[in-house]
Amino acid sequence: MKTGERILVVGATSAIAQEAIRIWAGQGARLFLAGRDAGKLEVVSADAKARGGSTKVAVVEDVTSVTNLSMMVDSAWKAWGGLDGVLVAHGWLPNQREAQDDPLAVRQCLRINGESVCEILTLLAPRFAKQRSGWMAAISSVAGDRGRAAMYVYGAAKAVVSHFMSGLRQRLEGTGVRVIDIRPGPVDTPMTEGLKMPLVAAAEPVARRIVRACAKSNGVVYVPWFWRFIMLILTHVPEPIWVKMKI
Amino acid sequence: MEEGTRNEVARNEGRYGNWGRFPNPPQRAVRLNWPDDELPKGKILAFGNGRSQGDVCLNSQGVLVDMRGLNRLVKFDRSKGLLTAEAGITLDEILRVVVPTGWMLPVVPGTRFVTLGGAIANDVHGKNHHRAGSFGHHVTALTLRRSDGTVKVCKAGDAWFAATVGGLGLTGIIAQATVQLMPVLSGLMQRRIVPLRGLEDFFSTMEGPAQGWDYSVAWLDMTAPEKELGRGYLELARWDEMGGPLNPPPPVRLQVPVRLPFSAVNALTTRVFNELWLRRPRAAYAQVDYSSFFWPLDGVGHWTNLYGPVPFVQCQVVVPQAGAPRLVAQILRLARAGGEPSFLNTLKMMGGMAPAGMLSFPREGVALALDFPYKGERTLAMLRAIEDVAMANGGAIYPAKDACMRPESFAQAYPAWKDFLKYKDDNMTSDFWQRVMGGKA
Ligand SMILES: Cc1cc2nc3c(=O)[nH]c(=O)nc-3n(C[C@H](O)[C@H](O)[C@H](O)COP(=O)(O)OP(=O)(O)OC[C@H]3O[C@@H](n4cnc5c(N)ncnc54)[C@H](O)[C@@H]3O)c2cc1C
Ligand SMILES: NC(=O)c1ccc[n+]([C@@H]2O[C@H](COP(=O)([O-])OP(=O)(O)OC[C@H]3O[C@@H](n4cnc5c(N)ncnc54)[C@H](OP(=O)(O)O)[C@@H]3O)[C@@H](O)[C@H]2O)c1
Repeated sequence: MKTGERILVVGATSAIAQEAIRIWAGQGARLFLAGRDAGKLEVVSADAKARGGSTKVAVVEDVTSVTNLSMMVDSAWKAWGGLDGVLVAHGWLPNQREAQDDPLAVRQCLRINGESVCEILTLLAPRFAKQRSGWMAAISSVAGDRGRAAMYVYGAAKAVVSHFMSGLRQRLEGTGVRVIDIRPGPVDTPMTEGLKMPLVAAAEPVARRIVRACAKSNGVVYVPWFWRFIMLILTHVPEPIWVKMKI
Repeated sequence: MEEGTRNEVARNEGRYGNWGRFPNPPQRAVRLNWPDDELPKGKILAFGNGRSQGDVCLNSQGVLVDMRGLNRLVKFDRSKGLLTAEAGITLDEILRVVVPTGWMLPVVPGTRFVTLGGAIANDVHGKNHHRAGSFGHHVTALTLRRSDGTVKVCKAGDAWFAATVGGLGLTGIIAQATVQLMPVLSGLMQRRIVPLRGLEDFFSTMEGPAQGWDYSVAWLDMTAPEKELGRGYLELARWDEMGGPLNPPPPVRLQVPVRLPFSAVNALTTRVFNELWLRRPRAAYAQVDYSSFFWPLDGVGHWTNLYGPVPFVQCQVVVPQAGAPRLVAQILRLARAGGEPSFLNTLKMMGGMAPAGMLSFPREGVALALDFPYKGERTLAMLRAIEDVAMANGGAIYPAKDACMRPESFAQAYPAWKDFLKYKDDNMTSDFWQRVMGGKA
């Protein structure tokens, strides 16, 4: 009989999610992998199976469609007879300079990175609450901690997720359900290819930290840990000084 | 985070280079993340994990295709020990999955941080060459992506397969490969250490007491005086048949994270190293974990940073069995006279099975590997002299560790190169190939 943890991964083709899936698969997890590209999902699923995981995959054509998301949550819940956890990992980093003067790009960014994540959590929260156990993790970003000229369109959407999870965590306190807000600094993945960034982490150790957090944390998790202190300082810079800072 | 041009082909920052940083020309690269990602146009070359020493993994006139993003497993049949994986996976990543299930890679080089594709393209060998042959002998199939967009599935025995094993990345991009693993009862090995007072000890032990051991390699101390030339110790090992833990390789503990501003490797530290490492008392018989036997240096991540800003070069030559004692002594003398004592020196008896690939380096004879801090002309002159000895006596130099062999030497030691041209992809080349072909192909 299969007894591995039952985990839904949304955005299973993300580089960070793939690394987490590998670790879970090695632990014998039962995975429900959701993404928009059937071909890529098959490749990720084969890798997880070869490592000892069990997988089911689902193509979600459009994460901005609540109908699509609700179908995804239903089939994930049915696939393994309930879920122990969810990791929401999909995301889109628009080119700030192009997006900042384009309301449709701003809307798209907020929908993909912000709204869709909140909607997935909304669909799952009552199920986990009823079950009185489980965890809900989403990858937000340090970019959501404070608006920067170089990245505020994306950052604002990530802030939506962090804000939402903070409230959700308070709501679910006492139910046994954990809500984990993962805030990575820059990670070397296809999303950031070609960008010049400081203190870049590799996806694999970031995923190891995420897996550990999913197993026991409840709250905000900065990855790597030092971002907590960097962001603590940056969020306390007075606005008149902040506006002049070029970071 | 700075705004940059997306998908720009300039992810350099010292990331794409060889292990010794000699030569070290700037490189451009594109990373593949998915099996069907498009190959870049122009002259391309697959780049694995840059564990080669010379210029086989460099492509200054074109674009490197970084394979590390393709590091997934495709299929693992645990009953047969057949593993299919994307070629950018490292042997370390493979071992993490397979060892706990009782399977082992039948051939591993002196570092486990090479990619599957790199291991095939250089047809790497390990301490068991005399028993198991080279890496290519254990690959059953591979998938090759050609620059014209076609995909070839090659099976062991095919001409395309033989051209690609040891094919230096020039027949196409190896997308994935299947390896036949070897069952192990535990990760424990029995190890025997035989002190060597000189070269004669090596040859007499190899012909006598060393028979019956699956793995063997000698570590030589280059600071030894002339009358003790070839002093060091011989390491012999075989798998323990008793059962025991099946641990994945350990994570890298100690890092030499930054390149030192000076070189920590010089005549003095080599002497100290030799005292601490080569002459450290070792039990004649011991039970050891496979990781510490195969990769004593992998415990220290990026130890080459100890060389500081000084690049270093390797040289691995194989000379025929007949005359080996004399030739090895001659090469050791040349190396010693070259000035800087070399740091890590290994001597190994190679087996006689037919090579797995057309251009494979592993062949019958005695293989000597030396590494030196690169000190300009003096170092080059010494490498030339070693090359001359090898060439005058039917030897060969290993492309994976070479930065200066002459075109004539390559043509002589790898006579199949002409036939190989039939399989070479016109749009693939490397700095190595440009050098040894001298513009011929
Ligand atoms: C400490 C140390 C110890 C070593 N010990 C040994 C040893 O014991 N025995 C031994 O044989 N070697 C040894 N080597 C050499 C090493 O095993 C080889 O150079 C190996 O090929 C490096 O693999 P890589 O993945 O880093 O490839 P790279 O160095 O990046 O590339 C090597 C070659 O492989 C080609 N290549 C890489 N990936 C692909 C692909 N997917 N498709 C087609 N071509 C590809 C490249 O084009 C290039 O020609 C050692 C190296 C080091 C640093
Ligand atoms: N990399 C960083 O520096 C960094 C830092 C902080 C936070 N994060 C966050 O970490 C998460 C994982 O990102 P990553 O770095 O692993 O990047 P990645 O490999 O580029 O993955 C991005 C993922 O999002 C999916 N996606 C993109 N646009 C989508 C859309 N419109 N609809 C549905 N799915 C979409 C992609 O699907 P396809 O594969 O189908 O394209 C892919 O699965 C993201 O939420 C990201 O914002 C990343």
